[in-house]
Formats: sequence, structure tokens, C-alpha cells
Amino acid sequence: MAKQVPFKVGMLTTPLTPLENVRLKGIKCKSCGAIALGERQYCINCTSDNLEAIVLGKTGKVYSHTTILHPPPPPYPQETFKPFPVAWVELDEGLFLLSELTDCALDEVKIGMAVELVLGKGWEDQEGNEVIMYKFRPIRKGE
Amino acid sequence: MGKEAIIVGIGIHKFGRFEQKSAEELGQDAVIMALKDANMGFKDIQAMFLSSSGTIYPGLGPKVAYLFGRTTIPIVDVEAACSGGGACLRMAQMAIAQGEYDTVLALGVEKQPRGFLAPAVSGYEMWQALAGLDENPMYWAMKARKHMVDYGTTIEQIGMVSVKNHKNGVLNPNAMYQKAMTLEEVLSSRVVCDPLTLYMFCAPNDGAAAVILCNQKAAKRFTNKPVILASCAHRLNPYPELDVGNYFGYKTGNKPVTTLAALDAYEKAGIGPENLSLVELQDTDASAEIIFSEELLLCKEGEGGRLVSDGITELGGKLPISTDGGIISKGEPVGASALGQVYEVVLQLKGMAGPRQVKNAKVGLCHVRGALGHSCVTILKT
Repeated sequence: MAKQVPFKVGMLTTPLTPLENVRLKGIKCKSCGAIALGERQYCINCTSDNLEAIVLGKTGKVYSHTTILHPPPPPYPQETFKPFPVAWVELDEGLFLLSELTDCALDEVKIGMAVELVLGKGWEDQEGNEVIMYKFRPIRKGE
Repeated sequence: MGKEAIIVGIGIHKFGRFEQKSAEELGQDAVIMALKDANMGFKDIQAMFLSSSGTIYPGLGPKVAYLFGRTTIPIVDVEAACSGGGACLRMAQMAIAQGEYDTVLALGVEKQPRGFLAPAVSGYEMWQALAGLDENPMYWAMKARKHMVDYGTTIEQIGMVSVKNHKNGVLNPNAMYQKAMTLEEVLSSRVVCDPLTLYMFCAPNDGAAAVILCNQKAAKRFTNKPVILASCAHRLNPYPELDVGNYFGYKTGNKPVTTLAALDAYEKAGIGPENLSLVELQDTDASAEIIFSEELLLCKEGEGGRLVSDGITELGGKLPISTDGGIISKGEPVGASALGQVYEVVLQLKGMAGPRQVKNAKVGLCHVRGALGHSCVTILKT
């Protein structure tokens, strides 16, 4: 089985299996209260080094959105491209996250729509590892 | 006030696509024009700053200068994404203010491929490119949609910015597109990232613009129509920046970089938005003009759409914006665009803008905003 690696070091909790237990990681500044994604030595907002590591929740809502209608430039694979929705997702903790929306029709997306984190294989790296990438999908009523 | 820099010469190489010309040649043409405008030779230049986004190769400043012959003056290349020309002008201004030089040249040059910029140019990491989260227009589309929902800005108002700038571009022989467009044509053009359509966007292209600065004493030798560089501010965006290259943020209440640079520039110049005769701003897309006119404090937050639909920003309106057609008409040679704005405002302040002349133009503002959070605001006055 292919080895699994995160899309960027320090962004996801470990281990990467089982995937349903994996979450996005961040830091919260004890001086100014700002939250950032991933690991940092200094607060991105106020430069303080008085930080605490946090694990981010799965849910949030769409802050704004659009559609990628034209293939992004290489190295994005050109031949398999299909239009997909993207959004700034506002997590319940207040962190904004740029994300592809999956399991979601292009005309279904609305500002304020509730969404949840999904993790899965994004692409393969040069060593043949499975790169684990985040996306968000709509939380539909009744689910 | 004795340390104020005076603009004594301006030059431009038309913005467009010039496959037969090297970057050095584009730059040389703009410099020749600026030298003629200032009645001086290249040997009169005592220091030089060159802005380019780095898409070509390093060391472009000396390479342009050597076309005029070997020189020993200090030349430094400057890079600040779409704000490079502003950052370069600020370096030149500081060199004048510092007192060592009487005449300093600021030159912006760019040669770029068509279409979306390569991922690395805008500062994307490899994983962003592989995830397809690296198309600059998606950020602007999401800003536009949020502005529409929050403030009731309409797609027609956004389209009207494009119509206005294309109308102005017809009057500018240095613009890449000199073609008027109807609102219907703009709104029905191909969707790039919804809600924004193709004719609402600027296109990256080639071009150059040059500005020669002097101190007050030396300026008298070269011009009898001095334009004063009242202030030139350069800032970077605080956290968060829900814009090009970024993938996370947090609501901090910080002011956006355009406002920070504008406040700096207004304060240093002792000039407020109410004193402006005309404005050039970063119309990367039509909605950006609406948002930046608010961030430059030209109107209240949320009222930017009304500026265009009420005709305030039209040529002949109370506060014309992008009288040269903006980069929507001119195209955007990234490292040169800011100095292209300065070129237009200097023409206007000297009363030499021909059919697009703003009556009694006394004070003009130029604004650029680029990747990695760069923004520059420049204020010029007679």
C-alpha cells in the first residue's frame, strides 16, 4: 500500500490513518488571540512567540465562493480537469480556509452554507506517495 | 519642503505585446522619451532604480543602462510584484531626499507570457498548484461576490467600471485595447471566475515607463512645468489577507494594506481624498476598482459601486478614475504599471492629456496592489 503524506508538513494531525480521525492543525496566539493554520514559531498577526497548538474542528460555513472553470496552469494535470467550486470557508473557530468544495454541484453553493471537512487522496508525489489533501463538502439537512 | 522630489521627465513604451523587442529595448525607449522630456542626456542621471517582477532575468537595470553606454552610477533592481513601480519610485524619492543625488531615474520594465501568470510568480507553493488553488482571479471573484452580498453592489456596476475604462482607453494611444465596449458586451463575455467575466479583467503584457526625479534646485535646469512628488508610500498587508497566494486567515480587524498605504501617503503629503482631482488605481478587475476606491477612502465603505453608476468617476465627473483606461485597457506590465500611472497623472497635471484632459487637474493619486501584500500609494501635485 502506498505511503500517505500530508499536503504540507505540520498542517494535519498524525497518524494519517484512519483518515476519519485526522484534523487540520493550527496555532492560537495567547497574546492577541489570532489563529493561523499549521505550525509557526511566531504569531502571524502580532509576532508574539507565546503560542499554543490547537486542533481545528471539522465544520464551518461558506464565506464567499466562485468556480474554477478553466484549467489551472501546469503542473496541475490538464487532461483530467473538470470545473469545480472553491470557497473561503470560515471554520467555527473563525479561521478562514481556501478550499475546493467536493460532493457539491456548481450551482448549489451559497454564502453561509454549512460545510464539513473531508480528507482524501489529492494526488501522488514523485516518490509515488499518496498525498492527503483537505476539501469541504456541504452538510445537507437530514445527514 | 526643500527635500521634495520634482518630476522633470516622463517616458513610456506603449503597453501591449511586442515579440520582436527585448525587455532592454522596451526600457530604453521609455528612458529616451523621459530624457527628451527633461532635456537631458543619460550622463545627467546620477542613480537609477529598475522595477521588474523578475519574470525575465535578473540584472535588467544595468542591461538597460549599458544600451546608453557603460556607466558607473549605482543601479539597483527592485521587485515588489504589481507594486514594483511604486516601490521603485519610492527608492528614487528617498535617494533624492537623502541629498546625495540631484537626478535619479526610476524605470519599470516588463515582458510577460499571455494568460494566467505561472504559479511561482504570485508566490504559490507547489501543493497549491497541484490542488488547482492557484488561479489569481478566483480570489477577486470571491471578493466581488462578498461585496455584492454585503453592500448590494450589482454586477451592472462592476461591468460599468469596465465600460468606463475601455471608453477612456480609446483616447489613450499607449493602451493595448483601444476599443469601446457596451455593458452588454462586458456582462456577456466569457465567465472567468463567476461572477467576473473576461472583459472585466486586465491582461498581463509587456511595456515600460520611466520617471526622472530631481531635487528642487536641479529641477529648475530641466523643466519649467514641475510636478511635485508629494508622497510615495509602500506597505504590506497585515493578517489576514484573503487574496492572491494565501490559503488561510482570521478576522483581526486590521485595516487592508491599501488603506494603510493611503493613510501614509495622505499624511505625508498633507493632502486628503477630498483634495484629489483624479485617481489611478489597481483595476486588476472591474470589481477591484469599486473595492479599492473605498479602501482609498474616496467614499464610504460599501458605496464604491455608486461612484461609477452615478458617473462620479467618469471623465468629466467629479473624481475621474483611470483616465488612461486603467490596466483593464492598457494591460498590466507588472513591474511597469505603477510608473505608467505616474506618467498619466503627470500628463494630466501638466495639462497635456489631450482629449482625456481633466479640467484644472491639480492633485492626482496613483495606487497599486500586488501579490504578497504589496501596495503603494503615490500623490502628485502641481
